[in-house]
Amino acid sequence: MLKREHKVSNISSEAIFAIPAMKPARVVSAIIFCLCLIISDIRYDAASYLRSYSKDILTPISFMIGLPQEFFSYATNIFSSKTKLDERIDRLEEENLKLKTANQYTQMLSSELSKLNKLWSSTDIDHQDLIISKKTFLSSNFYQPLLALDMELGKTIKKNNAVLSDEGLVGRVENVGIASVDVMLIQDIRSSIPVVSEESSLHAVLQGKGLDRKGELKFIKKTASFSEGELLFTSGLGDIFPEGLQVGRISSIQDLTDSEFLKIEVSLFSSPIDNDYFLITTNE
Amino acid sequence: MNKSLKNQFWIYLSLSIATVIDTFFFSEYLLLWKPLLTLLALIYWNMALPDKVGIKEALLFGLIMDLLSGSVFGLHGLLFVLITYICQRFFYQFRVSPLLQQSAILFVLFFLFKMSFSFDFYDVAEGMNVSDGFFVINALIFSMTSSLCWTPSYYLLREFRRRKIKL
Repeated sequence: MLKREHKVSNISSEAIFAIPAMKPARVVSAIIFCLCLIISDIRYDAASYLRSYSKDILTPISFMIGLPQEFFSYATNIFSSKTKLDERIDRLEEENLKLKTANQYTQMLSSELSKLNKLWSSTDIDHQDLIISKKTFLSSNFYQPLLALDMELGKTIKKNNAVLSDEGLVGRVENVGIASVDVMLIQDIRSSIPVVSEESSLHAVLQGKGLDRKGELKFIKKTASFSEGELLFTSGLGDIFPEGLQVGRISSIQDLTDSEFLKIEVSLFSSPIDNDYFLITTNE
Repeated sequence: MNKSLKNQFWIYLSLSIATVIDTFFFSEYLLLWKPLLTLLALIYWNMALPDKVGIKEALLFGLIMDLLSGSVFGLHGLLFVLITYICQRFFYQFRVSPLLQQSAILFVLFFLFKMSFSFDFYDVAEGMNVSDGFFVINALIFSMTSSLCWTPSYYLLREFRRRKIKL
């Protein structure tokens, strides 16, 4: 062992620790490397491709995670039928089990179907321009929550396509992978949505403030006549979101003395936590 | 497979399992409070086998976490590297202290870790700063759950190390 690689006692000159100290040069270079990555991601969105394809890698992992559960339920069914003593009770129990399973399955299907029906009929957009997609993943990132949806192969989804739920606008497509898409949610702090109010017909920009939080209307003059409880819809300006989608309801208006604008908070209707299925517009 | 590679395999496996649990197993209602098991596992390995786990592993799993969580690419990597360095620098003191004290130290570490996500890197959210009450409360709960998970994680990973890692 080289003396310079190890912490050495000054008294005896013998190595007292067998573990080499971490080299500061490596730490510094790792930090510099990370800072370069951060800057490149912020400035040039360099990691967007990596991010979208990382979800594709995760799809088989999530499938593999579900396998033991399926195997367990399969094994339980086999063993339960083998261990039954009475033939008749056995048959009846099996039948009962099957009926229960079928009932549960039907209930699950019915629930899924009603969810899908609700979602499908919730929008006025031509159904030819919509794709139903299932949620695969929702990240815990507070300010920039990321929703991943699965995508059928062969479907053409482009960046910035709107994503909807039965409660209204959810966000827009940020990255497109092979079998999944990443969605920037309206709760994301980077999200700005042009909206129009229902009663006063005033235009504004709604900005996200993080997961589980209210959004905020930006740069509203103190003379603007917004009122509490007013509904907000997408205005269609900017040609990213279709016009007339429900976004939220004004929950509070504050006139702060130290600000030249009104502070208007908006309760967002759509939460990615409560929904499993989403609609993606195709803009074709 | 030689012993060193085998050891490395088991360490990577445990970190990968922690990452998968972090990503898939928690209810979506607990997203903001759930403990970060990958970081707990990384801290454990840094403390238990500092010669086998280092910057490389911290960087790798940090970047994976960045891709999975949608945060700024490199931020988890940077924080994991810094925490790894702190753990390796002070692991002699940390290892001999009682578990309760270790949890208390980790509480502070996890709080600082979470608070670093409140920086507005994209410069888009006016008024967003570290005094954001909602975020601070969530960060405190996150730190609490993570530090409470330290003791079970510690015993679990120690048992795993004793069974699988051959020195």
